[in-house]
Amino acid sequence: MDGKEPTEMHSSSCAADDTSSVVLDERIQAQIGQQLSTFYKELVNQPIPQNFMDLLARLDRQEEGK
Amino acid sequence: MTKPVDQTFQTALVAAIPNLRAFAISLCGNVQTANDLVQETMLKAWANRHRFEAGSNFKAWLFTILRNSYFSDFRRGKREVRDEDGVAAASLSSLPEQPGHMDMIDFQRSLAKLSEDQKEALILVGAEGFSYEETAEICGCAVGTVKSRVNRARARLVELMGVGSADDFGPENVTQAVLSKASGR
Repeated sequence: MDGKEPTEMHSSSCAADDTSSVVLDERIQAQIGQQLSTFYKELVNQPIPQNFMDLLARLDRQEEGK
Repeated sequence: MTKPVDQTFQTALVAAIPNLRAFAISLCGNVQTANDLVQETMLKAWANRHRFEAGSNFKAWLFTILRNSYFSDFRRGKREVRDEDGVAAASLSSLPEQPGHMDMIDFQRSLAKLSEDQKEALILVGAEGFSYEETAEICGCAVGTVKSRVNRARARLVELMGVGSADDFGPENVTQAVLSKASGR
C-alpha cells in the first residue's frame, strides 16, 4: 500500500468509490446490529421490579381462594 | 394449593418477564408504561392459560398478547406518556460509566423515530431472534410484510445514524476496509 503512486490511486478512484459506499453501508449495518443487540441486552438484564412478583403472588392467592 | 400445571405455567411466565419488559420498553419508549403493559400481559396470559396449546411456542404466545394489548389499548389514549429523554435516562441508567453510553442513548432516540410496525418487526427479528415466520404470526401479517418492515427499519436507522457516525467511518477507515477487502483478507 505504501508504495502506491498518487496517479495509480487517482486512476482507480471511480471503482474505489463504488466499493467504499458498499463497505460503508455494510459497516454501518453491522454497527447498527451491534447497537441493537447491546441496547436490548441491557434492557433484558435489568432487575424485575418488585411489584411484578407481588402480582404473581396475588394470582396464586386468587387460585387458592377458589 | 396451586395445581402443578399452573405452577409450570407460572414458572414459564416468570422466566419470560425480562424479555417481555425489554420488548415493551422498546415499543413504548417509556419504562412506566412498559411495566403496566407487561403486567396487563401477565394477567391476560394467566386468565387465558387454559387456551395456550401445549407444545406451541409459549414466548411467541406471550409476545402476541403483549403487542395486541399495546396496539389496542396502550398506543393511543391516556396511558401513553411519551418521554424519550426520560426513558433514555431511566432505562439505560446502569450504563453511564461505560464507554459507548452516549451511543446507546443516540441509538434509542433513533429507534424511537421508526414507525411502530417497523420498530416492532426489527426488535422481534433483530433483537429477540424470532424467525420471520414467528414474527409474522405474532404481528398477524404476511411473512413478506415482516421482511420489508425489517429492511425498511434498517435502512431508516442507517439514515438516522449514518451521518452521526461519519467520524467512525472516515475516509481512512473506509480506504483501509476497501483495501483489506480487495486483498482478499
